[in-house]
Amino acid sequence: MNSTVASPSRKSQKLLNSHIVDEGEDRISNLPDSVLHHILSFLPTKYAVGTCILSKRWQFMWTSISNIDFCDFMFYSCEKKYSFPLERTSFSNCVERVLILRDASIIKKFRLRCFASIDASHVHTWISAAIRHGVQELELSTHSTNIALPYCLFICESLTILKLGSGSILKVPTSIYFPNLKTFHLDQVTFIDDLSTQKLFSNSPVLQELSLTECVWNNIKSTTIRVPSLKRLTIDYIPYCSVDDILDCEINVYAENLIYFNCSGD
Amino acid sequence: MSLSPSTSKMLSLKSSDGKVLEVEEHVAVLCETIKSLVEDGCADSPIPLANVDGATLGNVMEWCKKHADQKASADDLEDWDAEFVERDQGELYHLIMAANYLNIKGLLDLICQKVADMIKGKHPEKIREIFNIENDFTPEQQEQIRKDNSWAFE
Repeated sequence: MNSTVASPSRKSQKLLNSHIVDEGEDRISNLPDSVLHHILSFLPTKYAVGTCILSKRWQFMWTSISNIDFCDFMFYSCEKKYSFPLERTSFSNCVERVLILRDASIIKKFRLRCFASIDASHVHTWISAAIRHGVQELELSTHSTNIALPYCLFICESLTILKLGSGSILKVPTSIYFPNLKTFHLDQVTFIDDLSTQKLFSNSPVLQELSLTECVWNNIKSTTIRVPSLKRLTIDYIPYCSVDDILDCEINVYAENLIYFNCSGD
Repeated sequence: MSLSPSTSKMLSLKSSDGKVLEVEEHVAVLCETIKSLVEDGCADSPIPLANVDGATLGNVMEWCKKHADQKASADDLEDWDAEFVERDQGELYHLIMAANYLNIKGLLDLICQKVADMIKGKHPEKIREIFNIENDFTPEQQEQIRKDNSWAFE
């Protein structure tokens, strides 16, 4: 790059800028709302909401954040770890509060990570709410075994990235269609039968990346992954499953555009 | 129209304080605002950028040049970016405003992440101190807000 301006040193740049903005000025509050929303979207939601107390300018700024990121671990401080039931209620109330009080803007990304057990009906409601807000990236990670996902998730038009990590059996409806899904990750889920598994992987016309890690295939005899658009496929067998279980399971892959395939086991 | 480095022509950019910067077109078009001018054939010479001062424009183009370099690896760019954002708040403020105005998503994300890192995990009083934010709540209002959102302050 040729420059007609002599390349200014860092020091002289600082001098230049000090003419424009006085030291001690509140610059951040002068940023446009859209930029402040963007900044808050890089924070875990707990911290984003915490900015409401800074000043009147900040009080409702968090209600328009495009990324919602909750992890219950942040709600269990060390000294409180023995009071899980109470803390669990508090965590649920907080997620609910953020979803109810936010404005009508799009939720771009919704990430929910729960280490403690969580009420399945709450998760069902939260995901439904995120979908009503046009969520594009959804990431759910729980250790609960009874999570049931809402039907609207499986026909969601806005989803481009879906990552599910759960100890649950993956119950899927008869009708599935992900028109815009590009990335699909499943971690530690249990597939229920051949047909529903096949449906799950064969109704995403633009899917490019599929990753199945530590999933439980015991219920599967023979299933098919048919995704012409697929470029990357990872199937990582469950490490604590016996080899016999895997050998009994046949997975047929039809993906003529595949450029990366990784299948590994213990 | 080819935007590849080998055939890239030069564009003149004029800052708010009248400085003119000559920049290769394939570098300047990382700014979506400039890219649409070029694509529409409206890229007058020099292109006036009324909201960006010369020093900031220099910094922005330095970032664009690095990120237009197809030889740079992802790791290299990450290290370079980490160093790039080590600036005082005045410079960060002007960079964020410029990235927003010129519509450079990568640069806007980078600096917003940097500012978010300055906020993350800090006590409200500390955040006010870092950014010189004046607390314009009455003590009663502040108490009520704290109570309504107590979970966010634990």
